[in-house]
Amino acid sequence: MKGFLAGHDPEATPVLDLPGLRCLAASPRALLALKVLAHRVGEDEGDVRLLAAALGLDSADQVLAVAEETFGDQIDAAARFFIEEIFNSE
Amino acid sequence: MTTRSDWLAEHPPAAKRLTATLAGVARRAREGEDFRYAVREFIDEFGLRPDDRSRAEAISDPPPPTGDPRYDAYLGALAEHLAVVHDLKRPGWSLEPDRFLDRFWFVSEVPGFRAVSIAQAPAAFRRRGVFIPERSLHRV
Repeated sequence: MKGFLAGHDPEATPVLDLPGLRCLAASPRALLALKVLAHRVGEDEGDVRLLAAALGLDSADQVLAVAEETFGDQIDAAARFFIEEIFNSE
Repeated sequence: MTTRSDWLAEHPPAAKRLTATLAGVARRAREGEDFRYAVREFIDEFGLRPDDRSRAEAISDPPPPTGDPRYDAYLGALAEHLAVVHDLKRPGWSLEPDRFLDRFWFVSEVPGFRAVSIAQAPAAFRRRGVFIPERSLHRV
């Protein structure tokens, strides 16, 4: 997933800040967008549910909107199907 | 954009630091670690192994029983799949009876993903009764 990092994450949290070295933890919104982009069956369902709950999102449309904010039209039909089926199964 | 994967491909770790094996995954699962997490770490490291000898070492030792027949079959399937993809000798242990399930296992619990899991599971997984799309084994 780290191969898809999309750049600036305004909600990232500093976890280490030393002279010459600053590490940031990606925000839940950024992680959720990455999980939607990856949409691996049997791998990413639990993380999508966890991150959506943390963000107070309870529908496929809301989750897809977060992903599209970051990745736009990279969110393809397979990714939409993945998210819609997760929420349909609940 | 240079990714972590790109950087690692250009700056591979020393061979002696690549120690993850399928047997190690089984030991971790047996000791209570999350099976999928251990598998992901194994696949991450397997992708860094520089040659066939090193790749064969990662899959050759028989994994001990994990306590869950589904995981035992999954490891057999993964060994065979990686052997096929990399043109390696298929480990004998991957063909033992306890590496095949009597009942199908869909790794995703979401019913809507069963069809895609059947259609897209690698042959090594399908024939053991384990259904997960091939792309779900990819790491980046």
